[in-house]
Amino acid sequence: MTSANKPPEVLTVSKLTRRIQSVFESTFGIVWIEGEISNFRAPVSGHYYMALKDEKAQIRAVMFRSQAQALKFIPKDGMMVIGRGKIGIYAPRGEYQIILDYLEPLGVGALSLAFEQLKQKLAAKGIFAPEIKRPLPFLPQRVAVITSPTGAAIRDFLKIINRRFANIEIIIVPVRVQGEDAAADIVKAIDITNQKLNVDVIVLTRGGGSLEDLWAFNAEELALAIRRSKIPVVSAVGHEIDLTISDLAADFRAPTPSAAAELLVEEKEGLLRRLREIKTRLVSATSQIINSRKHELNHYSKRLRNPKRNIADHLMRLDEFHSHLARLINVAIKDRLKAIKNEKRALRLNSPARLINSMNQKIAFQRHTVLQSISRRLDELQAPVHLLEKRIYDLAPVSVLNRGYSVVQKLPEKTTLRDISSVNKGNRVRIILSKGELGCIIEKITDSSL
Amino acid sequence: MTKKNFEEAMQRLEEIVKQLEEGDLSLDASLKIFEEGMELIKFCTLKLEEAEKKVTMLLEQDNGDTVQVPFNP
Repeated sequence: MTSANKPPEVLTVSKLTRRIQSVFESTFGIVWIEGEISNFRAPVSGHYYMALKDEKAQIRAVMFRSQAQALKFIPKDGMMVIGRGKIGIYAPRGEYQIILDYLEPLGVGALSLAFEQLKQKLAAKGIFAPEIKRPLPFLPQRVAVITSPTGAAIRDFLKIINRRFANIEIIIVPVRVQGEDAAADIVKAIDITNQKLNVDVIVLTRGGGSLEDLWAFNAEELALAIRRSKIPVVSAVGHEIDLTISDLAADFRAPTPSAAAELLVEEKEGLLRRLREIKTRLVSATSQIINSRKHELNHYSKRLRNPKRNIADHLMRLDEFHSHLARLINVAIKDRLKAIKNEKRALRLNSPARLINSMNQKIAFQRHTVLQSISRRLDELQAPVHLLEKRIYDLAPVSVLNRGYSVVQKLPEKTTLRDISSVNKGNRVRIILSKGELGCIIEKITDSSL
Repeated sequence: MTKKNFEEAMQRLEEIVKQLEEGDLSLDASLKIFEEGMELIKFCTLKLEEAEKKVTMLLEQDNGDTVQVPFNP
């Protein structure tokens, strides 16, 4: 029975719901829950809706798309799972639910859980923040490798280093890489390296193994040691799919030890290659420039003819003309000679010589004939003359002379004397005898008439 | 050597090669930057080949000192 109190507060449904909500949130915050999946639905929105139950109770659960996508497995009804989430109230339906942000099949074990939890813890502390990660040094020259000296990891690592040109100094810091004390070993190794070795980068590496095998690399103190290190750290633990705290805390993660080695040398390799290329292009481009100038020079040099060549050219042409001219002249001469020969022949053929000859012959013949005639005529005429000659001869003074008579001639007139009147005493006279003559001077003249 | 110097050198080299490949420079200028290019290449190559190639292991001695010994896998 109430006395005169205040009337009870009357809340709206929404208000009540809101209160319940805040009580839930402040009481529970984030919880880890284990149970069996039932009524699992995955509509096209990508969100997961299900109920998690055990024998006595169940709770609605939802996982939104962005977290659901990250799950490495597909939840199924009947699966036993472990999940983490926030308790909330879905006001429109008055339902409480857990909003999961992580889900994992149960049976993976405590280790897995521990890993996740440590991961959250350190992430929250900002250990994994990308901003605090240091960039890899440019062209590292000295590298400390913290690993097992007998494991496969260092062998693979060195194989890659040896295969390349890599001139890089490697210092191995031997540690145990599994077992209880391994984490402490590794932490000490990181610290010693920072104190005593002057290297450009630290490589933390071991080969593949189970979650237990790799557990040392999930130690919290390792993450802290990595961040403490002043030297950048590359973590290459296990196989590609193994992700460890060390990987997350390091400045750089390589999926395998070989990949870590590649990482260290590829830059140098790449640069060497680039330099070689540049050198080739440099030399080739310069050669081309020189060559093209050379060609230009040649070109102009060809066009710039030596005047001597011009003269030579002209001389040659002159010679050619000479020869040509000589040839033409010769031909002309030959032609003329031929013509002349022909004319000669023609002349010869028509030569008057023959005519002359024949004429001469004719003449000779005629002459002969004439001479003969003349001769005959002469003979004819001579015959009487001979006769007369004889008669004359007989009567000639010569015959008279022969008879002893002589001819007297008056000198110098050589007139025949018949008469003494023509001469005087002392005149010269010539007396022609039958043989010889006498030159006389008159000594005496006698007149015979008396 | 800083990354900056190296990168600058590489950049200058790319410039030089580009200029030469465009072929617009006089012969004198070309030869001059060719020489500059070769010098830069020498410098960069030297830097790349600087580091020593060797593998050692760190051992801790009883007295806490460390020493490096050759490593044979």
